[in-house]
Amino acid sequence: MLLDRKIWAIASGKGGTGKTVISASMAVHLADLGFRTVLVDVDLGCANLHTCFGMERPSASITDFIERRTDHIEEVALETGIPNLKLISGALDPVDAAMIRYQQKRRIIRQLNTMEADLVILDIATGANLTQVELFLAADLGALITTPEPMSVENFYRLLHMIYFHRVREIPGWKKFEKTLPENLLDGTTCPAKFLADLDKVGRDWKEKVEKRMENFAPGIIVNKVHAQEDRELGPDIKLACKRFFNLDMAYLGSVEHDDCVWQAVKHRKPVLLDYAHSRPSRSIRQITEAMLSISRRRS
Amino acid sequence: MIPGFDDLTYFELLDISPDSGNKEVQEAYYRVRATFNHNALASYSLYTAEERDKILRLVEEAYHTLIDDRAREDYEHKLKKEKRFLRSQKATQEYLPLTPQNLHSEEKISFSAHETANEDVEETDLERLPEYSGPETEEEGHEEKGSSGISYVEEYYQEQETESEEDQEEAEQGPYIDEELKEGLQPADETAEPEEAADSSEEKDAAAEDDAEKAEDSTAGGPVVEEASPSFTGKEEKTEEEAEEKEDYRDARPFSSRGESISIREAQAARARGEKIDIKSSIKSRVSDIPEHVFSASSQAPPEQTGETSQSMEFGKKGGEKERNYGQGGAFEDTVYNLPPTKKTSTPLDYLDTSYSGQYLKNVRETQGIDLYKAWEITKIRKPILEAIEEEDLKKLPADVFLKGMLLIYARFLGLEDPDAVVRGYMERLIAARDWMD
Repeated sequence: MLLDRKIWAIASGKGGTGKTVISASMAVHLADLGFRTVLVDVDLGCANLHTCFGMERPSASITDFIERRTDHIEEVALETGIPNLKLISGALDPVDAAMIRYQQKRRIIRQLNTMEADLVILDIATGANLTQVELFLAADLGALITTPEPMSVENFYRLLHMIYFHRVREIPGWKKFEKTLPENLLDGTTCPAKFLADLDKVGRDWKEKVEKRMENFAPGIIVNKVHAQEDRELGPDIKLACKRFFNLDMAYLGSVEHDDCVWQAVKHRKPVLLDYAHSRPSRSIRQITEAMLSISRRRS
Repeated sequence: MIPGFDDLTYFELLDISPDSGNKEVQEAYYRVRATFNHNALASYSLYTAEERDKILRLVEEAYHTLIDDRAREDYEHKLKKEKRFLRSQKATQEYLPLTPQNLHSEEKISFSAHETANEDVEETDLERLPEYSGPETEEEGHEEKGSSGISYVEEYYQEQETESEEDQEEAEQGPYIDEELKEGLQPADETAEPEEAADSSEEKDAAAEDDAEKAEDSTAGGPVVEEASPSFTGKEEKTEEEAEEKEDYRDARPFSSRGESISIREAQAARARGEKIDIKSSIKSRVSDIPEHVFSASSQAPPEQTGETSQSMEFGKKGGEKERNYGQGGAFEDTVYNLPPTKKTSTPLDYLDTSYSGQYLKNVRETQGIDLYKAWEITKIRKPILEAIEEEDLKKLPADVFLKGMLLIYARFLGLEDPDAVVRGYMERLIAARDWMD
C-alpha cells in the first residue's frame, strides 16, 4: 500500500458549503496526478455527484451494492471519461436509502479498502447524524468544510462534537464504562477538554485511553467561499479554537475563494477544475488536495 | 475555570514554542486575540462571552510577560522551578503548505504508485517527504533552495531581522548629538535615552534651565562654529552665519536631538520668556557636516557644484539654449540634453535635529515590534502615508490639516506620552524644512 490513508471523507455540518463541488474537483486533480481515484457519492437520498460530471441518469449505483444485487463494488463504478477516475453514484436509491445499517456501512468500507484503487473519496451527506458520523470515522482521513458564516461554523463544531464523542464510544469496553459515569458528564454540549478533565477524576486509565484514541485523529479544515482577507484567517482561528476546546490538533488545509466561475461550472455540469482550470478556486483546490496527499503519506 | 485553558503556560496559551522570539510572540498574540475576540466567528459558539473575556485577559497577561525581556526571564525561571518548562516544548507543528520541492516529490510518488506498487518504499523516504523540516536536512532541498517558497520566506525574515537590528543600533547611538552639547548636559544618561527621560517631568524642567544656562556660557566660538564655517562658500555668508549663530545658539538648543520631550519643553519655555526662535538659522548653526550644495541651494547665489551633477546641469542649460536657438527642429533633438534624473540628494530634513522626527516615530514603532501593516490595520492610516510620515517625504505627505490628525492618531497608537507634543514637534520640523526649501 502506498498511501497510509487511502479513504478520504469530505463532510460538512451545513448544506451548500461546497462538499460536492470540492470533492469532484479534488478527485479530478488526483486522477490528473496519476492516482487511480474512485469518487463515492454517499449522499444517499440526495445524490447528485453524477450531475457534476455531466452524466445523465447513471446506469448503476451504490444501491445495487447495498441491496446485494451485486457482490463487488467495482461493478457499480462508472467511467467518468476522465482517465484514472471512476464514480460510484448514489442515485437511483429507494426512499429509505439514506438510512444505511451499520453492517452495510462496514461492508461498503471493507470493499472500498480492497478495491483496486489508490484513493477513494467519500462525499458524505450534510448534517450531523449517525450515518454521516460513522462514515466519516470509517475513512482514514477526513476533512470538514465550512464557510465564513456563523451558521456554517456552528454546524461545523456541532458535527465535530458528534464525531469526537462517537469516536470515544468506539473504544472497546466504553459502553459498559459509560453507564458508571455521572449523567452530566456526557450530555450533548460537553466541552471535550472539560470532559477529559472530569474523566481524570473518575479514572486515570480511561482518560489515557481517550487521549490515545484521539492522538492521531486530526481531521482537516477547509474554508470555502472566502470573500475577504479576514475570512482567510478563519481556518487558523478554527484550528486554534479546536485545539483548546476539543484538544484536537487539526490540520488547516486551506481556503477556496468565492468566485462566480464555480457557479458557472456547476451550471455547465462540469467540475470547476476542468471548466475553469486556471481560476483561483481551482488553484486553491489543487493546493488543498496536495496538502491532504502529504498528510496521507504521513505514517500514523 | 475555562475548559481547555486550565493550567496552560503562557507559551501554550499563545501556541508558540518556548524559544520563540519577540516577533513570534507578537504575531501569536494577534492571532490568539483574533481567535477569541468578541466578534470572532471561530470561538463565539464554543465559549461564552465571559469566558472569552477571561481568555483575552489571560492572553494580554501572557503577551505582556513574554514581550518584556525581564518579565519573561522571571517567568521562565519560575516555570523551570515548577519543572513545567519541558512540557510546553511540544508546540504544535504548523501545517506547512506544499512547496515546489514537496510537489516534486509528490509527483514521484504518483509515478511509483503504479510502477513500484509492491516494492517497499524505504522508511527514510516515507518519513522525509511529507514532514519537510527545512532545507538543511534535505539533499534535494539544497539544490532547489531558490525555488522553494520556504527558503525565500526565511531569507526575507532574516533580512528583515538584520535590518531592524541595524535600525535599533542606530537608534541606540542616537541621531546627531553635538560634542559640545553633550558636555553641557548633565546627567549623561538622560542624553542617551530619550524615552527614559520622558518619565520624570520635574527633573527635566530643572535640568532644562540648568542646561540653558550652561549653553549660554559655552556659546562663543564652540567647535560647532569652527567645523561649520569652512563649508560655507561666500565670505559674507560665513560672517552672517557666525553672527546668527552667536545670537541664536541658545535658541537652537531646543532642537537638539537629545531628550525629545525636554527640547519641546525648552522650546515652550523659551517662547514663554518671549524669545524669538529662528528655526532656520538655528538649524544652520547646528549643522557642521552639511555638504556645500545644500547650502548653495538655499542661498541666492547660483549653484556652484562640483563633480558630475554640476557638469550635467551645465549640459542641461546648453541643451536648453540650443533648443531655443534652433527652434523645434527634429534634426537637433539628439543634441538636446535633458537634465538627468537627479540623484537622491540629501534633503535639509536629514540635517534637522529637531524632536519627534519621522525616524523617531519609526524607531518607536520598530522597538515595539509593530510592522507597518499592523499599524495600517489599527490606525486606518494607509501604509504609503505612514511611510511618508516616517520618511518625511514632503511630496507624499497629505495636507497639513489631515496630517495633524493622522499624527495625533499615530502618536496615540504608539503609546507616546504626549501626542500633542508629537504633532507640534513634527509640524515645526516640517515648517522649518519647507522654509528651507523656499
